[in-house]
Formats: sequence, structure tokens, C-alpha cells
Amino acid sequence: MDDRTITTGVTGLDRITGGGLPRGRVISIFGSAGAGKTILGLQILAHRVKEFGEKAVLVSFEQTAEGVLSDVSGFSWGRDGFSDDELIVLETGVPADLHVSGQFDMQGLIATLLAVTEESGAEIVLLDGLDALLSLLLREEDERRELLRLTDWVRMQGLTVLITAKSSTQQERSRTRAEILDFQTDCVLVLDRPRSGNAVSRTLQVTKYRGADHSGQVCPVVITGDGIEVLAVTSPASATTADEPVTRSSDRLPTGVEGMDALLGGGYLVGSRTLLSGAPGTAKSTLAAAFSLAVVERGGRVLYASFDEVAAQIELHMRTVGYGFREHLDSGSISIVELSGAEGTPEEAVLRILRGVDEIDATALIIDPISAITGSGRLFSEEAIAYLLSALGHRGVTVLLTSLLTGQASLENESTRSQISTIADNWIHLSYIAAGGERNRALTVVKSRGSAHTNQVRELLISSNGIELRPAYSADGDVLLGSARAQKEEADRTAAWQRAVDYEQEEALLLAAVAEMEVRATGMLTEVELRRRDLERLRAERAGVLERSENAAQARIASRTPQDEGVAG
Amino acid sequence: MSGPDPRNPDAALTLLVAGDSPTSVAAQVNLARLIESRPALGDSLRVIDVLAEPHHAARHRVLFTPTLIVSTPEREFRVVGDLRDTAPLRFLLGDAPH
Repeated sequence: MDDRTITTGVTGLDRITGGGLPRGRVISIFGSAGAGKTILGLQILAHRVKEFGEKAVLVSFEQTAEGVLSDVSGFSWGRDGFSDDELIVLETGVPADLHVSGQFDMQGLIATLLAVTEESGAEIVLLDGLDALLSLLLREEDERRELLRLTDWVRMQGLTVLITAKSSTQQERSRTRAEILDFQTDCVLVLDRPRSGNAVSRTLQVTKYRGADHSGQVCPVVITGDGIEVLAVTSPASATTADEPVTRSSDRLPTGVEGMDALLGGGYLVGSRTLLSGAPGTAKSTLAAAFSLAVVERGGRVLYASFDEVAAQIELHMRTVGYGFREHLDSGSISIVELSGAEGTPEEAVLRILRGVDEIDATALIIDPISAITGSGRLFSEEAIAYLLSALGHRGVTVLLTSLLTGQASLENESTRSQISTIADNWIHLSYIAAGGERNRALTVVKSRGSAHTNQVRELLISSNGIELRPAYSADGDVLLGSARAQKEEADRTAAWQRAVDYEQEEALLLAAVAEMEVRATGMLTEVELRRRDLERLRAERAGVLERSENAAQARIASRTPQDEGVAG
Repeated sequence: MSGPDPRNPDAALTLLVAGDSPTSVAAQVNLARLIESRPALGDSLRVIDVLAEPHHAARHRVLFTPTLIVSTPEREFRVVGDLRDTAPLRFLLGDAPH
């Protein structure tokens, strides 16, 4: 951190701005009503006040300051309120009984800020809802002049000033106002609420940062009890590799299934990510349960994030196959978080999961199924997962992700719609194999990073005592059933079985590849949409700049005319 | 010291200006003109330059300059601007429109 920037305390924002907001400059926060402008502004003030002992000033032009403060009292940083000498609240309240006669300017505001900051030593100011004040000015050119006066003064004083303003494209005047603010401030943050499906996301974008590198990507935002959180990933595709912890443990966690540890070179590597894919009923959740118990038995703690299945159902299901959760749920070593795939946004879901992980300091995390997010088709599902995996990586949490991967017919609805298969260290595919008149479950290790044991196939049996793995075929003509005839039969059966497995595995790979490309295609479309918006903004800005320089040129011409008598009249 | 204005016995005027900006100068000129016709008002007039005494702006919660604050025991009202149009002010002060 250098002294040219101030941290905001919003981790993701500090990250995409390369360290924070410009100190001693003017920062605009734009957004529609309810986009979180005031919350963000106050959260930044709270951070400066509580973490750095700085003094801050809040001037609210739209709401009463009381109202603003009570709005943020629900957040962890606003709960205890602020003392009068750490946050100076100016009750401006544009008086109702205000009459206008002729021209005026905003020097009163500047004088007020000067008096208050000099007396208190405050260095940071939030002008909340400045557009409400500006709209009282009579003409557009007054707004332009007064904003220039304000921003010039702020920079001269070395104050850091956050301005929040509604961005509305409805009205010509407010559009121009946003444009002027955009033009005259040093850093611009835009909050938005894009809709995807029946969920409304929140986003933050740094559209301008004078003199510094920043990421202009649109980041998903979630408002929790801790205020605004920006889910910043360097880029969805690279996040998972770039954020890999520098050193990785070589310790392994048991899979909880006899014979399976050996398949993976000794178990799941601590901090690794394993994808369990397969059709419904192929024992994905059961494998996850076996792993959960194995972790708990070693003294670890597991967070089981379940989409669309309530805790009681999970517990009941696990009990019938010999995996009792009850006592561990009671002792708190296993915790189940129930999520809904239909409600909320992917970013909200991942933050809830992350919070759950931190609450119990989880050793391992199960997400059952991750396809509830990846297959949702929602905005930011990839970014949310990249963010989650990266955060888990830093915490060294071992992750097991189940994913519904069904036949071609339902590919549209549910599939591994993401790059999960490439992100995962281990990919275990579960399938039904119909061969020799039997229908059996098979487990294939498609990929296992850090071990040579790939493409191994086992028959998977589930009894009331849990999961059991069996060799799928007899190696080197080993007699399985003890008689030659049985051996022949078995050989035939396993050959057919092996072919079916190969076929199934090939199909899974292709399905994943198709799904992955579909996601990329959707991502590109979203990107196109965002770029289109950027383009519109740029064009509007250019139009504004041209108009301004035109006005300025005319003003210069006018000032050269002889009848001009100066300004003191 | 002249007697209190019959209609606004205790009307006190506070004009907050910003240095000698054009609107500040104009407001003082225009207000002086009004006071000529109502000398009683002149006694209670106080002019404050917020650039020289910024704490007055904060205390009076004045964001715009010039701002004329008219206080009577019953109410307080504010007129912002250079007061080029004195009709609203006269009306508020209880003058019959001319």
C-alpha cells in the first residue's frame, strides 16, 4: 500500500483497483436506486475510521443523516454506530422552505466542508446523493461549473471525497449530470443490478481510474451482514491456476472407501478438488458421505453444502447405506448448509458456503451437487465458483464436488456446464454399466493429478454397510469363480463390461467437452453485451466532451467580443 | 435606530455571500435597494462572507451562496440567489405586491 491510495476494506474492490481508491481525489459512485451506493460509501468511511482512526464526514443530501445511519445499523460495521468525533454527520436537509431568486453557486457547501474538515481534521468525506443538490441548480451549465469548483477545491485541499449519485438514463438532465460527474472525477465506480433468470445479481465495475491500472471487469457483488462484498477474480478462467497456493500439502485424506485410497495414490490430497460426476443414483452422495465420515474420524470437520435436499433427507439417506451422520451433526463436526438452486444467485450461494466453512473451520467441503450452480445458466456462475475455489485453496480446504452428468437427452438441462473438469485435480466418474444381463455401478478414475492411476475402473457395490469397490475384471486370467467355465464366463462378462465402461467414459468426456464449450459460448455472449454497454457509455461520453468543447469554443469567441464587461457587474 | 417594522416586528436578515463573486455582489446591491424602501430591515441585516468565516456556513447549514435567511419569531425562510427578483422576497416579508 502506498500513500497515494486508501484501502476501502472491501477486499475485492481493493483488489481490482490495485490497492484501493486514489487518496486526495474525487471518487464517484453511480448506481440506480437500491444498488448499494450509500452502503458502499459508508462502509468505506467505517473502514477508514475503525481501522485507521481517521475522521470522516458524512453529508447526506437526499435522506436525513439519521435515516442513512439507521439503514446501515444492520451491518457488522455499523451496528455500534459512530461516535461524534470519528464520524461528523452534517444535517443538511435541503430546506423545504427554500425560495429561489436569480443565480447562485455552491460555495456554501465548500465553505461548510472547509469549516468542518479543518475543525475536525477529517480527511475523507462522503457526499451522499449529491445529484439531489445539483438538481436544485437552475441550469446544466451551472451544474458543470459548480462541480468543477467543488472537484478543484477538493483536490487542492487533499481531501478524499466520495460522491454518490443516481445514474438514470430516463432523464436527459440526470444523464448529463452523470456524464459531467464521470468526466470531472478521478475514479468512477458503477453499481448495477442486472437480472438473470428470476434472480437479480449485484455488480460493481470500476469504469475509470485516472492514472492507475485497474480491472474494468464487471464483478458480482453480494450484500451480507458484513456489508458489500465484491467477488473479484482476476479472470474466471485464470483464477483457479493463478490463485493456487504456493505450496501444496502432500498429506492425504482418506476417501472412506476401502480400496479407493490406493486408486488415488493414497487418498485425496489435502487442499485438492475432486469432481464426482455421474447420473442420478450412481452413489455420488454416498461417496461424499463416506469421505465425510473418514474426515471426521480423523478429527476433522466437514461442511456439507446441499442444494435442494434438506438436512433430514440427507441424514436419512446416509443412514440407510450405513453412514450415520447424526452424532457428528450433534457434535458439530459435520455441518449441513441447505441451499436452493432456484433462489438466489450463484455468488450468494458461494458466500454462504464460504461463511459456513469459516464458521466451523472446515477441513473438507462437499458441494452436492455443484451442477446446481454450474448448470443454472445464471450470470456469474463461473466467476462465483472460481472465487469459491480460489478462497478454499487459500484455506487449504479439501473439496469434493458432485455433479450430475446425465445422458445426451437431458444435456440441455443438467450437465457439467463448466470448466470444473479441468479445474479439478481428480475426476471420478460414476456410471451404470449394463453387461451380461446385469446392471452395475462402475467407478472410473478419469483423472488423478499427482498420481499415475488414471483410467482405472472398479465395480461399485452399495450395501447397508456402505460402499465396496471390486476389481472390474480378472487380471491375467486370474480365476475369480474357481472353475474354468466360470472363468471363461467371467472373462467374457468383464470384456463386455470393459467395453461398456470405455464407451461410457468416452461419452462422459465428450459431454463435458460439449458443455464446456457451451459455457464459453454463453460467456462470450455476456461479454459481448458488456462490451456493448461500454461502447454506449463511451459514445455518450464522447458526445458530451464534444458538446463541452463546442460550448467552450463558443464561450471563448463570445468573450472576445467588445461588449463584454467582465464579471463584476 | 428606527422602530421595528410594523408587519415583521422582529425580522432579522442574514445574508451569506461568497467573497466578491458576481452573484454575491449582486445580492448585496439588490438587497440594499430593497432596504432603501424599508429602512427598518437594514438594522437587522448581517452580511457574512463564508469564504472568510466558513464556520458560519456550517452553522447555518448553507450550501448555496448567496443565501438570505429571514427569521421572525414565528418562522424562518431562505431565499437563495442574487435576489434580482425582489418580488418573492417582498411577498414573503408581508409586503403587498406592487
